[in-house]
Amino acid sequence: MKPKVEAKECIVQGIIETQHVEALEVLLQGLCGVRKEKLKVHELLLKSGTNIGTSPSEVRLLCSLEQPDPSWTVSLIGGALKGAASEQVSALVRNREDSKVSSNALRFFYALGYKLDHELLRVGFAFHIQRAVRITVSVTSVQRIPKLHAIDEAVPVTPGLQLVEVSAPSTSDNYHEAVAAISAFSEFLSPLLHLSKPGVTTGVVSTASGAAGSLISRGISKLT
Amino acid sequence: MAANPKAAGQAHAPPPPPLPQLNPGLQQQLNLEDVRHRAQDLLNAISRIRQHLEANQNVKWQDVLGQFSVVNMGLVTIVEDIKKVSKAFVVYPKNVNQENSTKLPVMLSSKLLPEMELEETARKEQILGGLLSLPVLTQVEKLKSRIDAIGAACSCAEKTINDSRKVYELGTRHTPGSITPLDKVQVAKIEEQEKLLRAAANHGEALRLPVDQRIEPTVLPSHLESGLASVDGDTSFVEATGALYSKNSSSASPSIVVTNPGASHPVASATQPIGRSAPSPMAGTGGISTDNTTASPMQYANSPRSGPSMMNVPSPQQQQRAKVPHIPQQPQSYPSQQLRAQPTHANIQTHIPPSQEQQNQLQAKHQQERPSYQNYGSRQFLPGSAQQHGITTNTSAQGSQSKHHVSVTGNPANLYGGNTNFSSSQMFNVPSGYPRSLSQQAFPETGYNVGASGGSQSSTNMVLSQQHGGPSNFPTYSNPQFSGQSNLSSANLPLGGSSTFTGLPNHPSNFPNIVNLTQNPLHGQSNYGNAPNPTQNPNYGHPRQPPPQ
Repeated sequence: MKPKVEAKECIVQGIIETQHVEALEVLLQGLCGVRKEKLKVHELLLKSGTNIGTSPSEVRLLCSLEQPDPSWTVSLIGGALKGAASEQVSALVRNREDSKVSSNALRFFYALGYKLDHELLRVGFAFHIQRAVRITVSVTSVQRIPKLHAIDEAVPVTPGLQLVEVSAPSTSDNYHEAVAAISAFSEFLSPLLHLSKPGVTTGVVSTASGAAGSLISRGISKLT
Repeated sequence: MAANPKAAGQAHAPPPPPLPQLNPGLQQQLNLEDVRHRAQDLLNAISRIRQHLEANQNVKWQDVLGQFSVVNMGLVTIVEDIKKVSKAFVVYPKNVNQENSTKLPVMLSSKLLPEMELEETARKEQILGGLLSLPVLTQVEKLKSRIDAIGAACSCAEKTINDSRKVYELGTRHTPGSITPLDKVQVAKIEEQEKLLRAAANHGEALRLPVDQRIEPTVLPSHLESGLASVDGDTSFVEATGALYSKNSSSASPSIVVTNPGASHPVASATQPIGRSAPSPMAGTGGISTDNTTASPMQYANSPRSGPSMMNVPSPQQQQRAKVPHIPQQPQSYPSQQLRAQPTHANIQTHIPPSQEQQNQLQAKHQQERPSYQNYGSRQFLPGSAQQHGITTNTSAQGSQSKHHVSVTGNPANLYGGNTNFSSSQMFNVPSGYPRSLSQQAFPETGYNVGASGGSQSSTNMVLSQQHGGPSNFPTYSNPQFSGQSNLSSANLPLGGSSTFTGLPNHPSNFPNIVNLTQNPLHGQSNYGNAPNPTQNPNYGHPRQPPPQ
C-alpha cells in the first residue's frame, strides 16, 4: 500500500512598497501573459478547543468575495519541512490541503467547537504561470477587520507595504522541482523585490523605484 | 572578404607562381594578417558563446547579450577596415562547377533584382520628384538642404528625449538611472512595517480582537449571513414561530396536528420536512396528541393564552399549519367547545367560531386530516386533542374549564424559556410514535421545540397531566409524554418546562429525551422534576375559572 502522498506547498514571501505595485503588475503581466485575477479573500482562522484532539488545531476558512457568488474553501496549513533538508531549499515547504466547502462551513466548525482566532481580508490580484509546476504569484494588501466580520471597515495593516507570495503546489516527493521553479521565477522579480521564506525579513529593494519607473515608462511611452 | 586574405596568404606561402602581387602599399594598408587574426578571434568568440548557451540552463540573457555585443563590435571594426581598401578588389569565384554555375551570374551581376529595381525607382521618384527638371547643381543643393533639415529635426528630437529621461530619472540609454538610496530612517521604518505585515499575514498578530470587542454584528456581510443563518428553516421558523405565536396554535386544532403530519402543510418551513416525517409515525400512534400539544400546547395547558400564541413552537405540523392561516388565539370560542372533550375533531372543528376564520381555514384544511386523525389508534387522543384545543384556545381566555386552563402566562416567549427559535415545533410532535422519527431528524436548535412549544406545551402538558387525574379528557394525555411534559409545564412554565426543553432543541440527543418522554412518563425525565408551579396552574385539579391572564 502506497502511503498517501501529502499535498504540500512551496512558498516564498516578499514585501513591496505600495507605490511599486503597479510596476510589479506590469512585470508580471509581461512574464505570465495571462490576465490578472483579482483577489478579495476573507480569511478566518479557526482554532479548535480541547474537545478535538489533544493539541489545538487550526483551520482556515477562505471566502472568495470577488465573484458575485462567494465561494468558500477550507484550508489546512500544516507544519513545515524541518531539518537539514529545509535549510537547503530556498522556499518554505509546508503541508497544505485545500478543499471547497459549502457556505455553512463556518457554522459547522463552530458547532464542532472551533473558535474564531482572527480574521483578515486580503485584497489584491494574482497571476498563475506554468513553469514545470503551476506557480501562483499573489500581491495583496493584508487588511485588518476592526469589528467582528465587518469587512467593509477593513483597513490595511501596513498601508505602505503589500505582501507578495509566490507559491506552488507539490507532493512530498517532488518538492525540489517546485522549489527550483519558484527560485527561477523569483529571479525575474529581483529588480523589484526580495523574496524569502515566510518569517524571514528582507527589506525592500533599494533600486526598486528605478526599476519600477522603467517598467511603468516602457508601458506608456516608446522611448526605446 | 575572408576568401581574399586566405587566398593571399596561400599565395604567399608556397613558392609563388607568377601571381599578380598586390600593390605593396595597398597590401600594407590592407594588413591582411591582422585582419585574418581578428576574423579568427571573432569566430572563436562566437563559437564559445554558442557553447555557453547550449551547455548552461541558467544563463542570464543580459550576460550573453553583452558578449554578443562585444563580438559585434569586433566585426564592425574589421569590416570598416576592409571597406577602406575593398574598392581595389573584386571578388570572383575560383571554381565554377555545376553547383555554382547557376548562381554566379546572379551574384556577379551589378544590376539590381527586379523588385529592388522597382523600389529604387520609386524612392528616386519620391525624393527627386520635382527636381529632375532642374539642373543638377540645384538638385544637389536642394537635396542637401533636405538632408540638413532632417538632421536638425533628429538632433532636436534626441535632445528632447534626453531631457525627458532626465526628468523621469531613467538615465541615458547606456547608463542606469540615478539611484536614490534609502536613508537609514526610512529603512528602519520599512523594516518595522515589514515585520508587522509578515506577522499579521502569517500569524495573525495584531488582528485578534479583544474579547470585549467581539460584539456580534447586527448586520452580517452577505456571504456570512447565508452561512451562519440557522439551518433550514430557522429563518422560516422564525417567521413561522412568529406566526405561530400569533396564531397561538389555536389553529393547531388537534385534528390538524394529528392529521397528516406529513400532510403538505403549506406552512411547512424548510425544516418541516423533518417535522413531517416525524409526524407520520406519530400519526400512526397516539402521538398525535403530542402534536396536539405542540400544536396547541395551549390548548391543554390551562395557562391562559396570553399574548402571542404560545404555540410558537408547534410541531412541524403546527408550523405547517402556521403557514396555513394563522389562527389567532381564538381561544375563547374554542375552549368552550373543545374543552368539552369533544370526541372527534370534527366536532371541534364545528365548534370553531366563525369569527376565527383562520381557525376555520385551518380546520378546513385539516378536514381531510381529520379522518386520518381519527384513524389514529388512540381514541383517547381525540379527547385529548379536543382538550388541547380547548386549552389552546383557552389561553387567552376563558379557560372556563379548569383543565383547559392553560397556565401559560405572559409571554409565550417565556414559556419557551425565551427560546423562541423553534423552527420546528416538531419537538412536540413526538408522541410515542415519534421518537423514532425524531431521532432521525437532525434536530436543529429548534428540533426540540419542546422547549419552545414546551412553553405552551408544557403548560398544556401540565394541564394535561393535571387533568389526567381529572376528567377523562385527558386520557390521551396520559401519554407519558404529556404527563412528562405537563410536569414540566406545571413546574414552571417559563423555566422548568422551557428550560428543559430549550436545551433539547439544540441537540439531537434531545430526541432520546423525548423518546423517553413517551416511554417513561415523567420518570425518565429528570427535567420534569420541576415542582409544580401552583401559581401557574391554579386550576389544576379544579374546575377552572377563566384563566387569569
